[in-house]
Amino acid sequence: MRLRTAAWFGLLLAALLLVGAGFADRQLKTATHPGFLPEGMPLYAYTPDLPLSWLRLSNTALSKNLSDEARPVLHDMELSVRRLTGIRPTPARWRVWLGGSAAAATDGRNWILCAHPGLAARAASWVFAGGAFPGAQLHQAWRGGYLLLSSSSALIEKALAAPPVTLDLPESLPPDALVMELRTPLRARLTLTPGGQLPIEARIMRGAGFAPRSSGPWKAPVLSGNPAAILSLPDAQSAEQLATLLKDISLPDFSDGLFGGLVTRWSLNRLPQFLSATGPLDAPMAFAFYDLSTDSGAPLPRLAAACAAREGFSKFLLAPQNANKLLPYEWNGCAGWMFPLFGDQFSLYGFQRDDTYYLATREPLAAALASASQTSRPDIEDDAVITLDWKRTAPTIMEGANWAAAHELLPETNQKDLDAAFIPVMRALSKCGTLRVAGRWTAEGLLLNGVLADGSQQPEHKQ
Amino acid sequence: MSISGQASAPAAGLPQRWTGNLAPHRLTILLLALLVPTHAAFAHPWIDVFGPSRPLYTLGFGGIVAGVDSTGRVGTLLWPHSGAFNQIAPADPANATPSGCQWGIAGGGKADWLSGAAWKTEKAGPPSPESAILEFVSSCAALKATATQTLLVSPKNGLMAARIQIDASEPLGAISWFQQFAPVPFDRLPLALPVALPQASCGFASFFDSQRARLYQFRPAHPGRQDWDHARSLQESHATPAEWSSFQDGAWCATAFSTREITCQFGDGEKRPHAESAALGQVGVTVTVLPASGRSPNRAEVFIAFGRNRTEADKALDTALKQGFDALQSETQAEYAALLSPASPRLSDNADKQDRALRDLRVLFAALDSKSGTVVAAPAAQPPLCATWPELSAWTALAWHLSGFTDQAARQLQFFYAPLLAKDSRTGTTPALPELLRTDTASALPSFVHNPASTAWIVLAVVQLARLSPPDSVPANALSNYNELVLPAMQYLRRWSTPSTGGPPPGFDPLPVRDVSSVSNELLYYLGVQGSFDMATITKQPPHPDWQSWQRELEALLRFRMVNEPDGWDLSPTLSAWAAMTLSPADPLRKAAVRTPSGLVALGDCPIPTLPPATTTILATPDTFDSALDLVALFHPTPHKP
Repeated sequence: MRLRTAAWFGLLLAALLLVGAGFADRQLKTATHPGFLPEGMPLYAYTPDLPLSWLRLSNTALSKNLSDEARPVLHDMELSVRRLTGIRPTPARWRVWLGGSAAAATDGRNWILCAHPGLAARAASWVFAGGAFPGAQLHQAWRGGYLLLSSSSALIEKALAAPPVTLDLPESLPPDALVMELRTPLRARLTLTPGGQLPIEARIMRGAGFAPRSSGPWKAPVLSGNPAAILSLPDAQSAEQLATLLKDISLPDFSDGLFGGLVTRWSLNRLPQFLSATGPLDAPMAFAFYDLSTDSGAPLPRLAAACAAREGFSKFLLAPQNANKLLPYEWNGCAGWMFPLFGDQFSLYGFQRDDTYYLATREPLAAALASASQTSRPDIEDDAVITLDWKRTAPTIMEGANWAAAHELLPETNQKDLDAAFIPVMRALSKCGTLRVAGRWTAEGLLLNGVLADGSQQPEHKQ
Repeated sequence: MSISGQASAPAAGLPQRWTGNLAPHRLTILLLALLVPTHAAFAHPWIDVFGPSRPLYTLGFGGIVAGVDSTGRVGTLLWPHSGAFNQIAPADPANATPSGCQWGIAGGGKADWLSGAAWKTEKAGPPSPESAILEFVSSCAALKATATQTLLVSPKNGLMAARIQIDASEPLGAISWFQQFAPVPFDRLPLALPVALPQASCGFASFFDSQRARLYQFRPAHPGRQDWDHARSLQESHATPAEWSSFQDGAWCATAFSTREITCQFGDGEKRPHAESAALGQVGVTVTVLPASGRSPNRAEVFIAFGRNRTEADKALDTALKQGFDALQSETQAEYAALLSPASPRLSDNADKQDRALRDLRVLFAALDSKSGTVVAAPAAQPPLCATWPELSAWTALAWHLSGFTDQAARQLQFFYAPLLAKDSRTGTTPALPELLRTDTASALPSFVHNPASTAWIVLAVVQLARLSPPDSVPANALSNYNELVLPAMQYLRRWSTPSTGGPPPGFDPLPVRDVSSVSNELLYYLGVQGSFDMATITKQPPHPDWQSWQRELEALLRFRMVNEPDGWDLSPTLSAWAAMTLSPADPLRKAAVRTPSGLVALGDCPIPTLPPATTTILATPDTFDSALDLVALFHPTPHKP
């Protein structure tokens, strides 16, 4: 009798201990802020509940495509984590060892992760004298209940000395949301909600100097021919503000030599001012990128642009000497012209069709634009619309990357490295449908909302 | 092609319909306003294609080529030949650290480099016009010292050697040597873009073998993540020199000194006297040559050899060290003298222009790729231009011929056999001839940079060389040149010509950096057709039946321009000179007005541009184009009258 009572008492005590431990574990895992990360890193990422994000992401089409196309890549990543931590990574195991909250940063070469673990990691750390995980390649440190893991001891030291990281988090952030904050070359924040079509909200910020658009709905010119990406803007103000926003992105310096001469002689440095002219060019416009070819020995894009016509055009006449440089062309009854640049691989072909002016860099593309059937165009309330067809964009990116790798232009990366990781990921992305985002100007910059991968195929551009 | 009021035909294959209405569009105006050229012309069409070129003194002939500035600093080194890649990391203008390869004097914890402000160059260049070496004499008032540097390149051994002798009234610190090689394997895929190779493409790792007292800087072929991680682990674990040889072949640079008492310091500050050290990426290395005892305590000699792997580089270095600097210098000088011997009869005819001719020949031999037989434009410049183009080849072939190097002239022309006879597997036609060609005939520019008219220069060169032969004999290779160069070139020009006028299509012009229609292209076409007629006569072959009508069409185009363009033609001085040299005295085109800096000049009176006389003792060598022109002007001063 006494034995039975003692057994029941023992069970009750164990249950109480278990509940207590669970409660303590849960309390320990509760983070009051994202954590400690070094200051001045180019890219930060944060999620309030990484295992939940992970689980929901694994149910998306993107994840399925990655599993199909990039299984060896995922396997290698899993193996790397296992070698570093001794644990096979799954959402459940992550929650047990590292909790929910996770903040990370990278400078492109090294990474650092900050988590708020519970009992398991703390117990392991106590047992193994400071290190929650085995392995000399993983640098670890504790600070105020947060566990820092990094590939670099220098980053650990910086994080130990830094104040709590301040991230521009959206209000009412869902627990499974993933937030990425880019600080250089421009300041931007991307919030991804795992699930479905992967809805995203992005904010590109530049401080001040922007003005929300005040005019009404507009119709974007249609650029047919299956472009890989289209950017549509309602007016010159939007074009100018977009150019201002992106001008911090530094392009390769071709200031010398033939390319340096090209920028000057073609006055490309004055292009933003032309596009933002508030005169007759202040009209809805669209820019399309179709593909990239490296057959000539260098990457050469196929581009097109369209702009709605405006009145008062006739007073702008070419000077006689400039008119002499044009070659007359005609497509489908639309009078046009050709301006030679680089033979038939990249020249300017222009024409007007109804109330729209078109420009293309290849003659067959101009012919296709002139002959395309006219579709109805809905009204657009937003200030910018971006559409990106992954099926056509991913192969273009692959072609460019392969060309760069073959010419040894990528740092510490050769063709074999590309084939092992980057190409499979691109193949997975090519099956993800279309990216669609719409933007609105705010006083600080551009706010974009849309979906990352709608899973659909895009035969014709539609607004 | 002109669009002044008449229908114009674009390049073949492009549909067009004359609409009769060129009412411009707004977008058109704005776009065209962007494209109006606003700047002055280049001095030569392609010399500055990679960026403003800084000419350096040329060192080498027929193999490795180095470019040295007036302080004795080696800024450029092409291995294994003039058409290959620069093995020296480019200088960073924003960085005050030394660059290239140079000597210095160690003192006060740092080195005083001879390229610095404290040293003043008194004398620079070859000690005599026929010398294969370069000599630089510099003085430093603060140190009360004079430094004499001697540099040589041995194409036979594939290495460069340098000696410094310091004469000072007071004891000085140790002599230092700085080098920053960023090796590039010669068989890497060339980049068909007019940009320098990025940092990611050059250099990989450096390490010092203290047992052999040798420094190595190398890059394996196509290094990837695995190679870099392996190199990182070797560096961190202070691996032995033997472990560094585990990488696959690529480009290796091995450096040794005439003494083994040296210490090595890498750019990252790590200093391990007489111990293995290593660094990754493009890194500068400073070697301190500890003062030697004996008669020449202030002398040091360095030998730098190259190879695809460590074994090859070491083998060349072993040979050089065994031979010694003086013997190497004598051997190199003897080789160079033998190379120049065919020019002796010509030089003795022009004794007072001998120095000039020898200077020009020095440049041509440095630019010569002995394997392909072509020269390149500016191998010793910074940045180097290691490519050729038809006009450069034409002038160079003529210069070789007039200087007495007839075999070399023939090889220069034969360089174009392969590109002109190549067939596209899909279309069966000749692919577009590149505007700039590497020594392996690969294009140095994207294929959309194309001017068909430039092919005519090949015909012009063949014809002019045949004309310069004795009248009673047909040159031995004239018939093969006619069949394998002239006929394919003319077919090529015809294929690209405009069907309605026979004239050239718009062709790429480096000035506005796009395709343009120009009188230069029309004149080239005309000279090419006329020349092919002459060549048919010389080789006693029947001319192509199409050529006569074609010549009339081109003549009509040019006569129309003569009448309707009273302001004169805008031609390059070199095209004008060639036309003046080759147009028959009765040709009315000789009266066409050409715009020059001194006003309008008749085409038939246009001279060959020449270099200014050397007025100072310090004069960097000119590029290949200038040297070829100068040689032609030297030996062919009056226009040729066929």
